[in-house]
Amino acid sequence: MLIRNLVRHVSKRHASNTGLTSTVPKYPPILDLSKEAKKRRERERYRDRINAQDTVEEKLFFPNLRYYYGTKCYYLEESNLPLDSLSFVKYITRTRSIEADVKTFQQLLAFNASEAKELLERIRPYLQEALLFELLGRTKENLSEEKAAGVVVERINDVLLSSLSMQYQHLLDAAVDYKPRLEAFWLAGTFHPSAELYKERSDEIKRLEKENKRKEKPEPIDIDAAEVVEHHIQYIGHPLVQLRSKLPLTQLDTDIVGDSDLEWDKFLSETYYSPSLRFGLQEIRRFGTNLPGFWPGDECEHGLVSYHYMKDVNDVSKSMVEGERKSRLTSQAVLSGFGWLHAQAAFQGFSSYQELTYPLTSQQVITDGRQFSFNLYQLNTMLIHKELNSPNTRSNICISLPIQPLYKGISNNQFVEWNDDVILNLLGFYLNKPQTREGVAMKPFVNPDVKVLAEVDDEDRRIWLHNQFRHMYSNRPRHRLPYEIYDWERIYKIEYSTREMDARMRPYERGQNPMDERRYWDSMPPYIPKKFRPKKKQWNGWRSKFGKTYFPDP
Amino acid sequence: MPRDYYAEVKSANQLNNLSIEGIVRSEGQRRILDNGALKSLKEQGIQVENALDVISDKVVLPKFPLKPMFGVEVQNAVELVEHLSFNDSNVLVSGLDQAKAFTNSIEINSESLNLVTAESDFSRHDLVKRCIKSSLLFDAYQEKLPKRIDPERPAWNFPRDYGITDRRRNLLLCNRMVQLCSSLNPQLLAHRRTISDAPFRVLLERDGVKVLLSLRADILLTSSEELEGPSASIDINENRKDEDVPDLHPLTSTLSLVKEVTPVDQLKDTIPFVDGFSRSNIHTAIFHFNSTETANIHDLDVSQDQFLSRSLMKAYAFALAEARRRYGANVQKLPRPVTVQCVHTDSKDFHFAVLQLNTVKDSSETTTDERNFYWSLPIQSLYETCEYSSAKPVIEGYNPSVFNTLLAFCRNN
Repeated sequence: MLIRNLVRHVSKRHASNTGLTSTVPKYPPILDLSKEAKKRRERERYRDRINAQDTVEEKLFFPNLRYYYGTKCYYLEESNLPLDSLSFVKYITRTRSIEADVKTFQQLLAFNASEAKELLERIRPYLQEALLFELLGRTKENLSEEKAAGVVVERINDVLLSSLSMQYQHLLDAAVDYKPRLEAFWLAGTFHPSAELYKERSDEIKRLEKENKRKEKPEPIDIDAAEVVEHHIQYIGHPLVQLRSKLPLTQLDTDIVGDSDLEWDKFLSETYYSPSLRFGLQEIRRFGTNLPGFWPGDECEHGLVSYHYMKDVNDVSKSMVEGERKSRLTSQAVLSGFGWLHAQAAFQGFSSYQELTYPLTSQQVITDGRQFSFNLYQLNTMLIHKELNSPNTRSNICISLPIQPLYKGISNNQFVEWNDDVILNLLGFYLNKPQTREGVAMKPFVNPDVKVLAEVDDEDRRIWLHNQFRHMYSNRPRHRLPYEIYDWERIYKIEYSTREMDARMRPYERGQNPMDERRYWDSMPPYIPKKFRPKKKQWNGWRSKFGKTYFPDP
Repeated sequence: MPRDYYAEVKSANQLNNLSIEGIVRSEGQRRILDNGALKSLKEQGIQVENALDVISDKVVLPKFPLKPMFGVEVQNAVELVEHLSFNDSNVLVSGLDQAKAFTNSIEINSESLNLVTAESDFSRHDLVKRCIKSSLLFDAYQEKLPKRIDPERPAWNFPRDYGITDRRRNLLLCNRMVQLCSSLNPQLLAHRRTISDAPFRVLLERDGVKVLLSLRADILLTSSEELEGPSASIDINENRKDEDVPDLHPLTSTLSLVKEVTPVDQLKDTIPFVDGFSRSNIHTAIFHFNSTETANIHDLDVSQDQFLSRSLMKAYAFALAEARRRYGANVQKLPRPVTVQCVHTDSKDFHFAVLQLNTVKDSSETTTDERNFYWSLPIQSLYETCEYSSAKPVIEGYNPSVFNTLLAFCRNN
């Protein structure tokens, strides 16, 4: 026994000698231990964890698992944007908006003028007839302007598809959506702290200073009251009609419209005002949703054209109407383009943390039935937040045409000043053929064997994930009401300390915040009645009463 | 200081007697104790009055007559008319027989209908399948669905489902299928028009009672030429399924219609478009069956027979409106029959039917020769199952003949 141990000991020492004799030692990497660097590394780990998820659904599911009651976010609805919000919208989407002329626009679309003119001659009578009928021929009462515009858009799309589909295969293969659910959720860049956050931080500094006075050896205070913050943005769009195809649109040749605007680049790299101070927006809690109108699994997952409603500006004073109209239209174009493409990119496996590996393009028409605004959007970057290793040099681009009226008016059942350019632009959008991207991996971060949830082999896990994912995305309220600080507590305990002798039982008195600390899975798993459990002879612990959960490792 | 009765309780018996009534009684009999105040006041020569004498004088308050806050002066009072009404939320209780009696129709064998089905030249059924999938499975809408009820244990509360409502399912599927039809037939662009969400109101008289049919065609296809009646090329007498209109006695054909009161000026026919436009002959009406919207007036589920009767009622209303549009509001005898095709669907089952309107009159007013002809194809299912089965989107048992029939209906000239 002793000899054997001795031999083992000697052989071990012998083996370890080789490490000692090697010339190149291996040291662990030297890491930057500053607060910012640590945060950046943490975010990179987080990104890697999202990328490690197999399917698209799991990637969409994962970021919402941090909070039980949802993530705090600013809620932007297409029909209800704040006043004068263009700079804000450009900032949160990292977009340069460029107004182009018709020639450049057609060049970008690789527009074949002679072919389109030929089609135009064929389509015009049908289109005019259909529009005249919708505008004058219908006896419908109490139809809101938005619904009327929706009907006109449906007719235009109907006539164009009917006359072009047999000639152009990509239009026959395109899927048409009516009033789809468009939602996008992302993390946006550096903002000044809100007044509440600033006060909270200053109070904390004061408290620490007070504590330090009592201590023999004061500790350094590592809080900056003016430190910049990030915000999550939830965008809800209301497209009237959208067309989708299996293949993506080709990349725009953005060199045509000129070099990057230096002023905008500077603007995009600077810090923006707090949205709550600047626009009076309120943060809400919600599970972030990324949906381009359909669930993952639909084969037509790239957008072609989407129509949006151009709402008239009637909530501002007369002097502001013109400026506000223009600003709101551009904001709408930028947000709808970004929101749609962001959700599409999320279905390709990218996120606010994982940069795109190829650009995506979409085409938007914003109209009230008479006036048309045409926009092209190209998504180049999805990283808009502040924790970046190197400054983001990419920016998204939105190219728009000035507003064009389709006609001036109607008299004697005839259109006055009918504008063919609008139809030509529409034709340009429809004839823009989607193509395969040669040599580009479309889903580099999705497991090629298990692209969507339906392909997961484990049946229990698949069903569980499906139900949980749909439940999360329905955004119905959680089972228990969220924790709140009651008014009487705020008055008598927080603002004016009148109840010093009360036991400090409430979370805010103990330095806890359940809204932020409670994770999505911090609840009992579903109870399984005894008759549904497998029969077992011995006691298997109380956990066997509950159903299995498949949350990814936190 | 009021007495604390419960403090005085000494035994269980006492507690038993201590009721609220007892306390009230004893408290009500309390006497005012003489505390010597009256005596000392009199000694000091102060005049004392009995308090009861002071309050015995009753004060009479003046009465204020109540006036209405604002006057309602009725000018040009409109006469109200009581009538029966049939709309999209109702079905006929006796089903198809009642509908036949109401519409004065006899059914003709559906095999006799010469449908030019497009089986030979249409091969892109993958497009139709994609329409079904994207409407019923992949649409991302999540609205609150009706409550699930288990008839075995009706008190059990299921978790509420979120998903695509029946209205939206029907809307998406029909819009996409009709769009596909018109995309496949660009030559029809000059002859057809698509009207979405078209409400009709048709007023008629049955058994001496006014009946208002207010029904909606969710998609209405109109054409440049009048649709020819199928009876022109068919021997009706050989193919008739019914000898005559069914006799409902002792019931009437207006059974289960709802009584309503409407101002007389609103009681008139309306169609969803104005005259003077080309291509406005009603060709095909496509309408939805939404189970959250349409139900019996009694608490019963809608049966298949009632589903079929709804097709006939709607087809009749549209055909009658079309006849009045073509030949005037007071037309009694039709110069040519009016034909309307209809498609009735709940996004799974499709019912195709054709109604040829020969007379606008009631069955009691006409002889057995004057009847409307009704062809009703058997109900076809577009698919057997289309759902997420164990979290996988599955569509099984796709039936291509449904889309072929729809295509044939659209192409029919």
